Amino acid sequence: MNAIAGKRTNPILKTLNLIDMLISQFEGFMLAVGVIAMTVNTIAAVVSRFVFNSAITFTDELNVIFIVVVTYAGLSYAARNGRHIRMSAIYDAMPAKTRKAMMVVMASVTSAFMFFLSFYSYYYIVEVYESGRILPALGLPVFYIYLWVPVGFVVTGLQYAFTVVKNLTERDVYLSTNIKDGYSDTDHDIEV
Amino acid sequence: MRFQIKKIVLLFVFSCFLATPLLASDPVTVVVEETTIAEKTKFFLYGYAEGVDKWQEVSITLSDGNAKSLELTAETNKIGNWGVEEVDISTLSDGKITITAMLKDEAGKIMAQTTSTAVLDTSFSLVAFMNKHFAVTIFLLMVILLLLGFPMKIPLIAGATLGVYLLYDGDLSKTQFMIQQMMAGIRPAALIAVPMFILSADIMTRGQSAEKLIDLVMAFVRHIKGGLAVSTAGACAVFGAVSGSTQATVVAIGSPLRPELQKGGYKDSFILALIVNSSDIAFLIPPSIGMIIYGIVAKTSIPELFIAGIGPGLLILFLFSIYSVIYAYVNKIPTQPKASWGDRGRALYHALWPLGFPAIIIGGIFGGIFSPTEAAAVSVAYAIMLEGFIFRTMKLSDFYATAKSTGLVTAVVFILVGAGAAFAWVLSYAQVPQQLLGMIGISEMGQYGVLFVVSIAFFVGCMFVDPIVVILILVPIFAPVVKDVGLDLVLVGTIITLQVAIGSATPPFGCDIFTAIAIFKRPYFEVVKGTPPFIFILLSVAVAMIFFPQIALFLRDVAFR
Repeated sequence: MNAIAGKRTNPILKTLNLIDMLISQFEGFMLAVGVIAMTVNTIAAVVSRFVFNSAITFTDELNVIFIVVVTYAGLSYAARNGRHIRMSAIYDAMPAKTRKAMMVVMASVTSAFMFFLSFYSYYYIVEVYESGRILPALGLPVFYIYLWVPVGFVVTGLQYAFTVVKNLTERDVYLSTNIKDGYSDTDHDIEV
Repeated sequence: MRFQIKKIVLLFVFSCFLATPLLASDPVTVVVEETTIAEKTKFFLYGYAEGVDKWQEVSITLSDGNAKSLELTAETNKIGNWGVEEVDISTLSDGKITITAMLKDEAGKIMAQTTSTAVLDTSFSLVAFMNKHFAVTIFLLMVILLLLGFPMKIPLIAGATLGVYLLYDGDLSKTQFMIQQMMAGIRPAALIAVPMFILSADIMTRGQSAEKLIDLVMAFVRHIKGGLAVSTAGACAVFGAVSGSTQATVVAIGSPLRPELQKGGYKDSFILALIVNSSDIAFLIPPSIGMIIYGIVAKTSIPELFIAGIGPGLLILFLFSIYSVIYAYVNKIPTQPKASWGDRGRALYHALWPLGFPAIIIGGIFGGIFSPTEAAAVSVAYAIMLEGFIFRTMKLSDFYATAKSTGLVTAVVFILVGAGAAFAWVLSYAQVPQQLLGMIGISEMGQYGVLFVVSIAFFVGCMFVDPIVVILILVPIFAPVVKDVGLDLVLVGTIITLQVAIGSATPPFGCDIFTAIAIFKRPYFEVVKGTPPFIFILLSVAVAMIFFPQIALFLRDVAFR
């Protein structure tokens, strides 16, 4: 990311990069906070059950919210960092040019699917909203849980779209916008 | 006279009436009522005729745009209906077909005729074809996407989308149902145990707890023949009591122990195979992510599954140890110096704190104090206490980084859980399980037969795809059969957990192999070279479990019955 930011002086691209970086940090923040929140929440439930002898009723509902946030913030974060579970045996055996072509196809199809899903998850939210269902313990409308979902899909779709552009404009093969293909430097940003 | 005239006129009129049918009968008509083309080239035509005698011949001409034509004949029945059925019209070319039906008298004069049209379309209809071979089409699409190296979620999502498209005749707005299933997939409260166990193992690996457990095992078994290898398997089992995934175990145990084993004189191919396969033990020893997900999908008690995993886990550890000893004898691996009792005491003392994890998790669940989710939460709290306050290896910023990486791993797993749930829903909606299992005649196989089929399905599945995906898709497929033949769901769950663990360490595409490739940065061939003996041992344990279910169920019965 930084390399590109330095190389290009186009103010629009610079702004885009800045926005991208901010989104990335926000996603990372949501991931960490989501996990910490569900940890605290679950531990609190145990403490309350054993120490104060009364179960907290809304623990599970809160955890569902955190799980959805973590999953869909993580979806785009994983895409950004090229962290996919995938069967790469055949792909790895191909020469660089074929790999690049495969990567372009893969990223565009994946991107298309993400936009497709964001579209229908929006309709799903509308349906849940119209049904007016409410979380029994928290008293919040159920659709709150899913608000993050279409956003997550759109951001992920954009990530894959950027990967396509990146592969088409640069010489190397890129697994994602900032991860080059190969085993040497796949995890410089995050640890396993 | 007037009467005379009247009579004549009347007679004339009357005779006219009488003669009319003879001179000019009803107008003759022929009408085409219905034309259909079935199975692309089978032509059906129905019509009726009026004003003709029965058994009258109707001649029909079909002509296409290229002046090719086909002559047919039909005969009217008593009430004038006629028709031709199942006429092969494949000789005509595609496009508009003009149909002419006519009635002729004996002299060949046309009495009546009518025309109609039909459209012949022999072109291949993909949608119709795919609908006919629903399961095959979807699996084919998924296999292709998988082999091309798509991220694992895409084959599932694409398969589910294609399924929705075919099931609802191209009405993609029903994709909403798929989204609904994706959401429902990650909603079960018990799933929260997955990130919790990932987090506690992650904290332990970054801190010192994992090392201390390794030191403990080493101090006691290092000095026997093949002691380092036995220690590795043992450490995997002990760490397995904290961690629920094979991959975390490969990282936590494999990374520090591989250099030691190399120094100790073991071949790298043996080391890699040992690490990859021993991590299967961690998958069986509670906690286990695979068991949590199986428990949710199959609606089976997760605590019972956890306890049932201990027996087979220890059996595998025992057999791996024997193999390691034999390997060390055959390859003349030098023996390590024996640790003094003082060293052992120190190692045990240091490991006391980390040994609290198995006490909390296994003890808590065994004793019925904690639910798996609670045990997971407590083990996270315990890990934070150990590494943050007692060993003081981690600072607040470290915990933040750990939470972030746990979140990432969780997200990668849960998106698969969601997509897998959506896909399983499509399959069950299309009744694919019933068709597939009916095809192999599973209902007549009895308990052993079913267990073997289940084992093979999961083993083969995991050779290609992530275990979680396999569990999510295959468990609903087999659930009705397993219930019908009266198998214990806990036993089936344990066997499935073992099979997915074996499958994911088995070439060609077991995902643990790729974890090892990524972590140890060794080529594919080197990682898989030493696996056959281990796979053999694991498979024999699996077979033994089918015939001696007590291996798994003994502890379960002690704890819960």
